Amino acid sequence: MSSTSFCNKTYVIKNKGYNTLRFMLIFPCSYDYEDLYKLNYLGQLISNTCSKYNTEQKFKLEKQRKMIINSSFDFEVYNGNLYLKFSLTVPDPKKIKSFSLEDALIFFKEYIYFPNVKNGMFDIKQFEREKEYLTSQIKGRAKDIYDYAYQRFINHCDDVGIIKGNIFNDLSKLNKNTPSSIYQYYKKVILDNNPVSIIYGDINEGEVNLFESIFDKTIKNINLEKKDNLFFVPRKKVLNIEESGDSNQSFLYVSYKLKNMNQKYKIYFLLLHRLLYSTETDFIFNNLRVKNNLVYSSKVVTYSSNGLMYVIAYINKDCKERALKVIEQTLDALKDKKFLQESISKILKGFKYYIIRKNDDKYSKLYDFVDSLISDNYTCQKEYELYRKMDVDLFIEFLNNLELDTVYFLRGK
Amino acid sequence: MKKEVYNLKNGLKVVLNQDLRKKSTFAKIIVKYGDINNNFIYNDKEYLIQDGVAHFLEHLLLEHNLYGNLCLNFKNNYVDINGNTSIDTTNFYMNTVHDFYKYFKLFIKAINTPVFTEKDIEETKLAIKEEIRRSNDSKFKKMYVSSLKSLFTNINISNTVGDLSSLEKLDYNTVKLCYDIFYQPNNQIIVVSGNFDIDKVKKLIIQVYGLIDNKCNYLLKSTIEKEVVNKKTFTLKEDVEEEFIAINYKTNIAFLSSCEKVKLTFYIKYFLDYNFSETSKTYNFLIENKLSAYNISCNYQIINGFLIISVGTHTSDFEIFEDLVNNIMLEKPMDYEFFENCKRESIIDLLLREEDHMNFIGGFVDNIVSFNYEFPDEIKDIESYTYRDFMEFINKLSFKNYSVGKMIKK
Repeated sequence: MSSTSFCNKTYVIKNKGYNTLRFMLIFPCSYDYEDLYKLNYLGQLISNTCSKYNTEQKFKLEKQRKMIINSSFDFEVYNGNLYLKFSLTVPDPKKIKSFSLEDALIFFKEYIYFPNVKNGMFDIKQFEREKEYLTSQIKGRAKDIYDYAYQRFINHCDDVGIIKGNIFNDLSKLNKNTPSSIYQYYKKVILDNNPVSIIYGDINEGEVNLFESIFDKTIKNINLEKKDNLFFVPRKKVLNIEESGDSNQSFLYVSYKLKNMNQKYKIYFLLLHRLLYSTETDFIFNNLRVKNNLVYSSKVVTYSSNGLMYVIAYINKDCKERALKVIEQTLDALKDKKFLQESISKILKGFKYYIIRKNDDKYSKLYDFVDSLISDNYTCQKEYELYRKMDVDLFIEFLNNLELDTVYFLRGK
Repeated sequence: MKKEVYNLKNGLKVVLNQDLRKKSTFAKIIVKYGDINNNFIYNDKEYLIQDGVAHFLEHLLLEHNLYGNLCLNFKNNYVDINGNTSIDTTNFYMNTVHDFYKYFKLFIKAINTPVFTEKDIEETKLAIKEEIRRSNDSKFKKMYVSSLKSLFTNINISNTVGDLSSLEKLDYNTVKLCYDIFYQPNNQIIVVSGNFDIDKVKKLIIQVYGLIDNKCNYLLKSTIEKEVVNKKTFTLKEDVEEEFIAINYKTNIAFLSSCEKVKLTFYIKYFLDYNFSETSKTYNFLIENKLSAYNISCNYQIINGFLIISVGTHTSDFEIFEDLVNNIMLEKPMDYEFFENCKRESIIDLLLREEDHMNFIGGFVDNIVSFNYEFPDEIKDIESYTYRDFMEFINKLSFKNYSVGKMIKK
């Protein structure tokens, strides 16, 4: 297994021309699927109260008083590791004189490091409130046809458990957690952890120093083991599942897995995704909707590091076979060398415009930086180069090794 | 940013907002046509058009025009394009980082040169059928439409996409009539924002739009809408885990000037935030007493001179929630510090609009379309708002006309 390593210092990314500053703290740690339940509790508990502002009302009023535009908590899993991300977006104090950056940063620190905890456990009342909310959410999702269809599909398709893990699968696991178990988890992933800090915007030295004096931390290198060898394996016989529901639409999920997947095929999956789903080619939508009028909308989802691609088509209940055929023909058409070469040229041209367009996105530099820090995702330039050098014969070979794996159909009324 | 608003001789309104810091250029054609306008008089004859035609035309024009399928054509050429239809407008958008003028010209011509045939109409129906099925699967869209229907007696409220049986019957003559009536320059607004040359765009608009005359005179059937609501209560039965209630208020604001209506959008937001956001006593009461596990959803919009406010939450304690909300709408509580905090938030919001032309143009065009107010929101306006004025303003509004909608378990 390889590893990922980085220093937890403060990274400053200057970006002029905007009126806000963003501060981020990213806590890296190892990850276990069972942690999802704890993470969902933690996210709720930590984002709604803290020790000093111990009710949702007090906490949110204080945010408003301190002119905080946005504070958020979320998490991502890359290569089997977990990254907990806290963000604070505030006005640039050089633009709004009445705004105190110091007060906002102290609030940010209080919310991360001084949660609503007493005697080694999260506040019981708040915990019960969040439990009720999460329980409602889980039960509610089961009644949502989009979530229901996805859950049914992914549980069938993901026979090795790479992506199907989510809290909507098992309510009983949510109930196993307690205010003290969540605190123990908080202690492990936040209190005893070393975050990476990122500051983004038209920032000056004084503002960086202020941040560092408030978030005083030990600088060290962080090493995490990468779990980058989790691959889907096509089953021997296509799994065909059909169920009935009482929705008006019908949901067709069609998934493909690659024989002998390994990391070198990641770029092939990325290119396949672009060919099928990016604006300039959009072959799945064009064939399902424009040429055959079978759908109003469709989607293509790809797990490029794990070797899975699936298509979702929202169709009429009588159109399953036709839609399946169109999806199959769309993939087959890519095996024509001339057509494929032309399509890749289009992708390359579109990619150039995409890179230009990205300049208009206020946070693109920040997202790119975070991506480069914690993930193996290619930079735009690298991805472009890999497409440019793509050997079409090898790509066709890749397509030939892509196997239809699971077809899930939820037939509407 | 440099902005201009003006009208061509044929009545077309042009809104330009140049921002040379950006790489992309965005254009939008707004046609003041939605299902709300389905009742009109033309050539001394009254027409009552079925629901969904405005939305149908949006699809038809993008997919069957002078250039074939414009969406496909633009996307093939790396230009983003889309459309949407609301209760009272049909909107077409494009966005590109290259050859803006070339595609802008095609965009205007495609929308303003009808070449669709009966065959195109039949073809367009196929995808829309799926969209109608999707719409019918959305419980909260049904709740939203039912809420509006409960408030209005004479103004036509629809789900925008129509229903399957009326779609089946829709014919060429109806579609063409609606096109001729509503797709005229004096019923359109064209918006360009981002990186472009103002003079060049102005010339291009004259060159293309200047040649289009208004084709026919029509009269929208002036529906005199009463202040009272159409239906005081309604109930939907759905397969839901948590039941839901919405209290919908209908308030006449026709007496306000354009400028006052813009101010209203700020004041009403402050008022609703104070009383129903996560910082409110109402929300905390619901949570403390375990009446709901969710936020209070709260939104407002302006429809034909009426302010419509909808306040809802997931709960089965319908009466308690209804009383709670009604008491607030009657007593109109607020506090000075919260008002000042809201003002500061608005100022920050306007500061953020200045850095993003897309964000800026959205608010600016809203003022024009909704209130006929041809100016963007400005920080100095917000700074001039006082607590006293706020209280007087809110107290002028009457929230006595309301409907109650419930979504209960099947």
